[in-house]
Amino acid sequence: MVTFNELPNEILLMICKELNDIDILYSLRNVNERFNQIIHNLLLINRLTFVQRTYFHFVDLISSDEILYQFTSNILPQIADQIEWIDLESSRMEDILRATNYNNLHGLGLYNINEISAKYLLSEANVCCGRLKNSIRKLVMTFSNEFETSYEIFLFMSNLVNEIFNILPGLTTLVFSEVKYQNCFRLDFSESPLNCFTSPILQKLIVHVENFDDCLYLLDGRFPQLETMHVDLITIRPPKHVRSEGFLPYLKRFALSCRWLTYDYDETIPPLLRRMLNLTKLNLCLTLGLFSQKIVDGNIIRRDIISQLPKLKKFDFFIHSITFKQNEDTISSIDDIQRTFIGFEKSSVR
Amino acid sequence: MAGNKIKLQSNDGDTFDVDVEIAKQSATIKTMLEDLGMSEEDDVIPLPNVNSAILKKVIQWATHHKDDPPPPEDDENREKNLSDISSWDQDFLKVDQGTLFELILAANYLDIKGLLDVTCKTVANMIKGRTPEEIRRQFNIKNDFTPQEEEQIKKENEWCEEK
Repeated sequence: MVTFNELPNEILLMICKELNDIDILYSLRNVNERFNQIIHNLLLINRLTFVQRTYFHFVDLISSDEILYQFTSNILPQIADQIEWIDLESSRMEDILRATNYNNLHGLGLYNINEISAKYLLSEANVCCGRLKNSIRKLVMTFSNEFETSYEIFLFMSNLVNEIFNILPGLTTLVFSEVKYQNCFRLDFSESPLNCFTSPILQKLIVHVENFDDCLYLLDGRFPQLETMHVDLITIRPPKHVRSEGFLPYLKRFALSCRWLTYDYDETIPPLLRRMLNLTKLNLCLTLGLFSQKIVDGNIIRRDIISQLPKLKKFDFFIHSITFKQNEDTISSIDDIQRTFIGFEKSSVR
Repeated sequence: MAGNKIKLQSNDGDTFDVDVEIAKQSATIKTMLEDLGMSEEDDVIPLPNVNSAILKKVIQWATHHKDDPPPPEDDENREKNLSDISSWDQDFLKVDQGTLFELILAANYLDIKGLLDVTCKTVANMIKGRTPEEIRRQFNIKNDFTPQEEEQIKKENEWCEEK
């Protein structure tokens, strides 16, 4: 009869692939020499993920106090020097980050952040964050949907973004993400008096904001080294409080998406893109409402975007144009519009 | 060989008549039939790595799953979900450990992805949440650490055991 320990490594690896790294470390590490060797070869312990993404949210993989104790008292202190990135459910932040010295930790993923965990993260006196203050380079955050009003979210996000660059001044990457688009926590600078955040070294920023002004606000020079920015907006209207001015010579990759209808393409998108003279990669996802303007076809895209960005190597776009009955006669046929895209690598007009 | 049946022979000499479409759930057998030029007219397909009892179980599983869609390709980033084992498969896999591990080896040899997935998941469920000591007991694994290594591991675990 075949026993578990007689299964070939190939099969044991298949079984391990059904488990997450946390289960493997907790249950199979120190079973015997063979399993330690398999784990050593299998796991990329440099990134330790204590959460699992599901369809709706992020789930904590530490399912019992005993597992937590094993990790904090035993496993983590032994592998700490190998760990470069930790992904954590926010309620575990204190336990895991205080467990040991992570001398090589430079990336943190903090999921389901709420007011309590944000306070812990933003506390200057906090031992673990003091220890990690200068070493954390990359931070990914998602937020708990436990706020009752949008004003509470607004205050929470304002406070967070105002403090985060002070608490973690070495940040080069900041990502605010969510599993579901509907749960996005958006930055809104319209009413906040404390928007003094800045970073001389931030290179990558992925955020959701309320409107076009907020996008411009982030591109007003407060992040002079910014190379990559992905921004999703609710509305695109001509700027009211911020001027779209100043070149962004370091910006190489830019993605902008807005699901809601905008009528102000001409006043917003081309002027913004013209500032990004060294852009190499661009992604646009827009829904345009057309009253009297011409439809944004291949010719307009060439004129407004491609000819303005000489270093552009890759440009992906999805532009949904909505016209109104009274304009139907002035709109070109689909075939005519498709012809304006001749020369584009791939294009589909529907 | 009659109609659309094929004969499969276990390593202890038993032969089993199986519908070709059921047998083709095994990528190994499918390859033998399609790519290597074997035909339904050939006498039997020998399966030297599978004994009669296990082959019978494999055929039972393949027969039950004959109308299933093809299993998805492996994806490193797929969600790890150990609970998505059908109740039929759960009952089917209520077997002793030796049979379960032999089913895994047979599924791997015959390249039946669906059976391999579900048997590996079943073993993963037996592992999840258990301590190394419990794993040793569960699977009768010998602790082969040196006394010094064992002492070190004990020291590491003292704090937890005191809790």
